[in-house]
Amino acid sequence: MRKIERVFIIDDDPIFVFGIQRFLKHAQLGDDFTHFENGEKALIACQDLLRNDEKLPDLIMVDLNMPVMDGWQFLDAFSSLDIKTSPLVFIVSSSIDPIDLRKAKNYPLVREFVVKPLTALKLKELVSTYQGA
Amino acid sequence: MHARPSNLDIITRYELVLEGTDIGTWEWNIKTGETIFNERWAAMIGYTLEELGKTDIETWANFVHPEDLEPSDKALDLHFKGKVPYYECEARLKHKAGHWVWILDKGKVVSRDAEGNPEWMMGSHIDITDVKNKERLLDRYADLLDKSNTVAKIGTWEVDLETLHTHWSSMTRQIHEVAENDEFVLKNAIDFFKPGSSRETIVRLFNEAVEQGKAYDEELQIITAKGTEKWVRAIGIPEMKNGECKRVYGLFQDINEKAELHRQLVVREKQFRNTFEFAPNGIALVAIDGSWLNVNNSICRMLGYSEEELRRMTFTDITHEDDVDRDWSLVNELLKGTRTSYEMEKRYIHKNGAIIWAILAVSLVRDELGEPMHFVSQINNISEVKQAQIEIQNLLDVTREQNDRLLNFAHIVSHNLRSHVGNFQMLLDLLQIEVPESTENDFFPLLKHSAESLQETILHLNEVVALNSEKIVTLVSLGLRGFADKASMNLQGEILESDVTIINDIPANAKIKGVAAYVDSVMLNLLSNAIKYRSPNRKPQIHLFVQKEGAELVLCIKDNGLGIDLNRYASKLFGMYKTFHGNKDARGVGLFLSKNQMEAMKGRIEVESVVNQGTTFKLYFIDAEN
Repeated sequence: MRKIERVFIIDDDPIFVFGIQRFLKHAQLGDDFTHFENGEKALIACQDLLRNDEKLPDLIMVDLNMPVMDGWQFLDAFSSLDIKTSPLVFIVSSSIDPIDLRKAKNYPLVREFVVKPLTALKLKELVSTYQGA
Repeated sequence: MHARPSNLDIITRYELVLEGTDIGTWEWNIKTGETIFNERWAAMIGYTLEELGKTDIETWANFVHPEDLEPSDKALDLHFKGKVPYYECEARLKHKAGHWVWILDKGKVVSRDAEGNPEWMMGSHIDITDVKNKERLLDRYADLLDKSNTVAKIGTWEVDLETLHTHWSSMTRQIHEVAENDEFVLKNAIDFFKPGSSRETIVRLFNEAVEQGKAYDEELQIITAKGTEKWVRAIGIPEMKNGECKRVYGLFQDINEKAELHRQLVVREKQFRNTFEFAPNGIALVAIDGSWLNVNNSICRMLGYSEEELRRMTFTDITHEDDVDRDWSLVNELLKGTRTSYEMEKRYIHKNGAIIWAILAVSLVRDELGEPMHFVSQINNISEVKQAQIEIQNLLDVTREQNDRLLNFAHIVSHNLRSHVGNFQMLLDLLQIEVPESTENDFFPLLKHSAESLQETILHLNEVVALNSEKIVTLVSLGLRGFADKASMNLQGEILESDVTIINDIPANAKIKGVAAYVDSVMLNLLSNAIKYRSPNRKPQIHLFVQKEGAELVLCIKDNGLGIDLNRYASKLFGMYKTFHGNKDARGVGLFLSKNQMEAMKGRIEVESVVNQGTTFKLYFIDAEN
């Protein structure tokens, strides 16, 4: 049974971040929650953790359209990091562009492509799918 | 007074006289064959008497041309018999140098024996070679003249004005196609001229010749004895004596062929000139240096210059500067012989400064030695076509740009709207969890419904965007019946709730060409519409059936619902966000999407409706079985 403790949310939409934080709290997953406004900040954080030999997040939820470094660029950079563990990575985006869906399939790292809105029910289902297995 | 000399004296004296002349003399004893020639006789054929040695009558026979022996013998015989007072004959003698010398041989018997037979004969030789040669030349000339007259079809004629007797040569007769032996008087001859201007002219000319002594030379038409019309050259020369015309003579030449050829040439030249001048496209002859040699009316009209103005210019002068080099490089290829003609689209500059777009086709004309002579250019004004083309291109660019902007706009709108509506729904979800009592508020379900409707609308909008972004769709063969069943299944809840009867009469083998996702969407949309807009006054029924129309298969979805007032809404029916029922669930984008999906499958959608009776949507698909 996988334990989800440390969660990274990479999204520039404060309302979404507010919502997801509350959902996680209700699902009792929000203890170790960090929010990043763009991919670059999240990447730096991950690199710091690796350097200090600290624990990487168990779940990363990344949006696609963001300033500075978008979701795809983050995924590219994150894939090239030397990571021993295998964190759950979800794309959580409002995009329903089939091109994005197809592109996501090329990232083995990405377990799910979640189309917004993310509801409490949907989150619960996802968590139980991956935590329970 | 001198004493009368003896015969011998007389002879001696004549001999002396003769020596001073060019006359050769001979004496011949017919009985013995003995001959006496004088020195001149021998000199005439290049000899001296000494060289000839002893002579007799055989000496003469040896020198004379074999053909002339017989005529000579005949003449002698006539004289001997006393039928002519003198012997006279022309004969050729062989000269020492090898050529023949013509001799006029004359003689007379001067003594006879007792029986009356001729004994001595005396005669003379005169060299007539010169005369003879001239005679031969004359004969040849006459012959030549006759032949050339025949070849040139020239006949002679003459009229004696005193007797009015008319003489025609055989060629003149041939020209008039009259028999050799027909006799003519002047009047007949005049009658051969074609009535009208030819007849009037010849009468006038002939009268002038007779009265004023004026010669004439005119080309006129005659009608021959056989009724053939032909052109002749008639020449008449009056012969005047004491101011009075005695005789008119002249020539007739058959110039019919020549005149006919000339006439044809004139006609052809005129045809060509007309073709050139009045051709709707511009035609020009252009010199090797690019200067205009000949231009037709069309070119003048097209470019605004007169022919004279153009002739002082080269094509470079009135060619758009950006097209000059391209034109000249093609011209040089023609001159080099690497191509025989070229065609290009180019711009000329009109005299008023306007740009004239034209298609220019040029070929090079070379002389018989292969040297370039001039160019033949054809110029077609395509300015209007070009202008229209440019306008169409501009419109196309604007349209494409706007289309791209629209798509971009739709993308942005749908994407941004999606994230906001997503947040909206998420917050409502969160509110429900964290503040459960809020759901009891009347506003809560309304807010939730609005959020859901907004999300659905955005979803449709995205489908429209997706449909329009997809440039090429691949059509595959699809069985139609299954789609109706699938849609019914998806609408089970609504069907049960509204108690609708769906009659699916689509044959199992009905196949169309389409895109499965589109057919799904169209079917679902139209069925849900038919259910939604049912009439509360009767049991709802939806009938699905197909009709074959040529290469198309038409799916009819017929309901007995509210119907649509097509007079009011026909033009808006398939527009985006148009609703026409007061129905609260009306989704305007549905029909717009269906129409676009049908069109993407190279089909179309039509509607028939009667208010309060029902609506039939007709979907035209490409029949896959066709």
